[in-house]
Amino acid sequence: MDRNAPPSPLVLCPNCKGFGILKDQRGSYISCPTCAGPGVAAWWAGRWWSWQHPLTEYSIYERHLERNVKALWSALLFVFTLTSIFFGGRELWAAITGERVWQAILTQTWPMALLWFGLLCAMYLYYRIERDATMFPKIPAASLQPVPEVTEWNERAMGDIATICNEATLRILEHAWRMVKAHGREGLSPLHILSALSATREVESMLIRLSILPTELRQHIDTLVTQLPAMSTTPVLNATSRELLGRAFLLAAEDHRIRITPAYLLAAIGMIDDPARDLLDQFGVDERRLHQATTWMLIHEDLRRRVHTYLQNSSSKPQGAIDRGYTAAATPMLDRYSVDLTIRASNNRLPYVVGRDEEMKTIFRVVESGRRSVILVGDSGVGKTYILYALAERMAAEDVPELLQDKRLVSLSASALVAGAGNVGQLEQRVQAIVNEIVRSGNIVLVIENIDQLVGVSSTGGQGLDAAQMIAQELQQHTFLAIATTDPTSYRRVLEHGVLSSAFEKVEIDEMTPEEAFAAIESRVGSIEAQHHIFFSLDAIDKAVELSRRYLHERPLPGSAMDVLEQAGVTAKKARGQKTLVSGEDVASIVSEQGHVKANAVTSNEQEKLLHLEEEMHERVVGQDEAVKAVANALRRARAELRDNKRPIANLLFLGPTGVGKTELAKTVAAVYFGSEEAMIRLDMSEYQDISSIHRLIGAPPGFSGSSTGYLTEAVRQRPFSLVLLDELEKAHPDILNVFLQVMDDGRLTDGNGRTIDFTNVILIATSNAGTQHIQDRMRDGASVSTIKDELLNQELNKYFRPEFLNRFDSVVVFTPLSPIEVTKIVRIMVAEITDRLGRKGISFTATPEAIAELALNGFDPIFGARPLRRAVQEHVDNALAQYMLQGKLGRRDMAVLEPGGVIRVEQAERL
Amino acid sequence: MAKSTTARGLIFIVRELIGELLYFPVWWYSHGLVLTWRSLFGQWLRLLNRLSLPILLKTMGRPMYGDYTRSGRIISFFFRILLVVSKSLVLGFWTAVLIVVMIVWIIGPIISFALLARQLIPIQF
Repeated sequence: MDRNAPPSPLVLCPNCKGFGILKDQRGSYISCPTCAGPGVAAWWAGRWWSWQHPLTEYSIYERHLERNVKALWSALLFVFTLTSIFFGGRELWAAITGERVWQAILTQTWPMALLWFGLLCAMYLYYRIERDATMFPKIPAASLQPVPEVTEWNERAMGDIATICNEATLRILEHAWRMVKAHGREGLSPLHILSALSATREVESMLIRLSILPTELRQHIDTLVTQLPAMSTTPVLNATSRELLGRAFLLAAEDHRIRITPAYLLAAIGMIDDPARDLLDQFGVDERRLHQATTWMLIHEDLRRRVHTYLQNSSSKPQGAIDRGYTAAATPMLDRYSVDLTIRASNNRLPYVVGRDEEMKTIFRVVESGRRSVILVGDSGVGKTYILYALAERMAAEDVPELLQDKRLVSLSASALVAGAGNVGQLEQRVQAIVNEIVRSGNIVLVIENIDQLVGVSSTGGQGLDAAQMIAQELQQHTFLAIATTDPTSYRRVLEHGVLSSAFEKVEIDEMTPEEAFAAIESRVGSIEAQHHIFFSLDAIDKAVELSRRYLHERPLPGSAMDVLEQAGVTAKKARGQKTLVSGEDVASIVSEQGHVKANAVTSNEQEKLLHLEEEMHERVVGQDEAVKAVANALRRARAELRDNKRPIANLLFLGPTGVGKTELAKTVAAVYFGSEEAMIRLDMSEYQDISSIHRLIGAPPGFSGSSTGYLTEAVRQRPFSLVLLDELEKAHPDILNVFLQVMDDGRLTDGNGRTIDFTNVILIATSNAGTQHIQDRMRDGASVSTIKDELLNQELNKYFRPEFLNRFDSVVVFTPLSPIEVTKIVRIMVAEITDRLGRKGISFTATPEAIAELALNGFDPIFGARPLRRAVQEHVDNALAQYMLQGKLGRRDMAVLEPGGVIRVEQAERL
Repeated sequence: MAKSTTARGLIFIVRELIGELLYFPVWWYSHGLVLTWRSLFGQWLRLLNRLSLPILLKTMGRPMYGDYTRSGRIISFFFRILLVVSKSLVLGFWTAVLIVVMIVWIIGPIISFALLARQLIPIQF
């Protein structure tokens, strides 16, 4: 147990363990002498809360009767009121038309008595409706507080959780109770509650979002409840159900809700130790996913409320250029090249924005502190435009500091401004006219998205000020306010040292955290759903956020995830038609395609393949069992998501003489795991022998000569899911090797542009010939591979690499020199390649065992390993075959047989 | 159980019929009064906001539509006066309506009850 964790605000009675009842000596149930019934108590707002509502047939009947009597009473009152007012009103109307009003009022007649009584009844009815709508027990607002010890279980002093459940929640519990009775079970368990929940419209939609079919869920529940203890007496709430209700109460309280709704019952199931939770888990829905489902519901509830409030508040916003004080002037030129965001917001034509409150506060602070303009700096897709939308909404509803009240937020379109301004000075004229209009009008906050596009834009051929400088000049005089946006690279490149930097206060917009992105996407995804008539499962959104963050680094969250969702939605719609549920797998397929990664779940075919990776790799790599096994294990760990996601998939060092298969194994890994040898980024480390070559590797920082993008960083940025092969590592400069310390430890590297490149999806393989002589000598002495490896790590390698560098490798694999049998196997593989090549030309090819043995003997070199083999095969086989083919001695359907002495015997097919 | 049901039934009827009836005037002149006042005052504020009267008064000396010429200033001043007067009239009318609603809320039950009593009890004035 975590000692630093806050104490749980939920306590179970130590005597009855939360049941509230105990069996006495005769086997009958009695109320628990310790807690006297509640069993479970939750601490909130300075008091204990427990479920005190009896759930019995009688209590349910009583509640129904009460509800019906109340409804009937209200209906009778309503009818009586209408009738009374009708008859009384008719009398009064007759009196009014007959000009004897006072006489009618004061004279005793039954219609007049009915009228006054009817009016009283109307007021009484209004009181009943209004009181029911506003005066009910609510969860008190509070925050989590230290939980005291339960000294005394005093039910009277406790709050009753039942009173703060809404009507739907109570009905669900009653429905669950009836099911218990129908099933003949003893306790009302969370399974019954889950079954009852799944039948409600609200939870049904949540379940569908969770990719669970309610009918399928209920079928499972029906099977599971038969395993529960049979009924011996009236069904009662069991201990886990009481805990569930307590948890639901605390969840609702922590979310600052006033009542417990069915969604909280569902969310609480994820927090209890019960078969109901296990069942949901079986459907792939855990506590986190249930929490996401509740958040989804709350966001939409809040959005509905916000839309209502904002629309109400923005109804008084003028729908044109003129402000409410009539001080503004018309801005025809600006209107031609811009969009009024405040008008769009007040017409409910902008998407509602969730989050970004801190950024909004910063903008207000900058604006208020010195009437400064603001530039939002963040990568494309980080949500800068949505911040502008949020500002427009708040300006439309006048929910902004005084300086921004009664103002328009107008977005200038750079492209529209430049379009058609072909004549010399035309663009400058437009800009000047727009600036003059803004200054004269005085009620405009100008938005310039991607202001960097206006830098250097001029129609005078570079003479005089460009469009951005003209605007900046006015801004420096504080004649109007502007909010601009740009990305960090453009800011550094064109704005940081220019006139614009002094005109604007920089506000950095960081990438959202996955949680913030999830909430933001939940609020925005409705527009894609409405547009394409599809539904997104929570798994789809979750996967979009998670996989985009991991694999798609070109755009930050939430933009990257939104793009993926939109594409997944369109693809799913094309494949399965409208009203389809877009799943996490749909999203994973899109990410796999875009990022060249394996983001989707492991299929059964792939499962087989992963389990037999060694065999597959051995088709290309002969021997080197230890190396193949180390690589295969790393790949299996990665695909089963068991690896450390903050480091590369694997950091491996291959040691051994040349020509024993180190590079071949690396190529095989690229082909087997990444789908193609193209996915291998190969660096010959002998090219990085002096320290200045580091700029070629990771890019030159500003102010240094050379490209700001390095070979390694750029290659990994463009293809984050790849194999990085560092060939002949020992030849690199020691300081360059230090660069890889960070890569191997943190899985990231910063390039010359200041961008952080993600290396967490690469397999890093370094090869080295260091200690080759030692390996060969010791192999000759008959030492085991593990002994040689220890000797290498403790002595030989220290001459080339620092110990902390060697320690970063997950595995150091020693490649042993090839044995004659292994060399023969390699020859067979090469012969098979020739057979394959000739087979495509319609020619059969085979080699006799003697010829293979001869080739192995001729081609093998103890120093260069299998490398001369290729040359030997070329000289003795390929050359001769080429000659035969050119001479016409070998054609389609013929068979070539390689025999000892490099002789090729041709068996010509019968000519037809 | 039957006895308990009868007792509970009686308690319900007493609570629902007598209790509710007795609580009605209490709610009407306490919680209900506050709710009605808040609602009417909220509507009045929204109306004020919609009519933009405070902004108009604040910008009384400034010319309209950014016209800073002498004639523009003079025209603006008189037009603003016209606007303020007309909007004040609208505000005044709706304020009166809201005040009437508030008064009806306060005296409505008393008048209705008194007149009902007058109908039921033969009192000679």
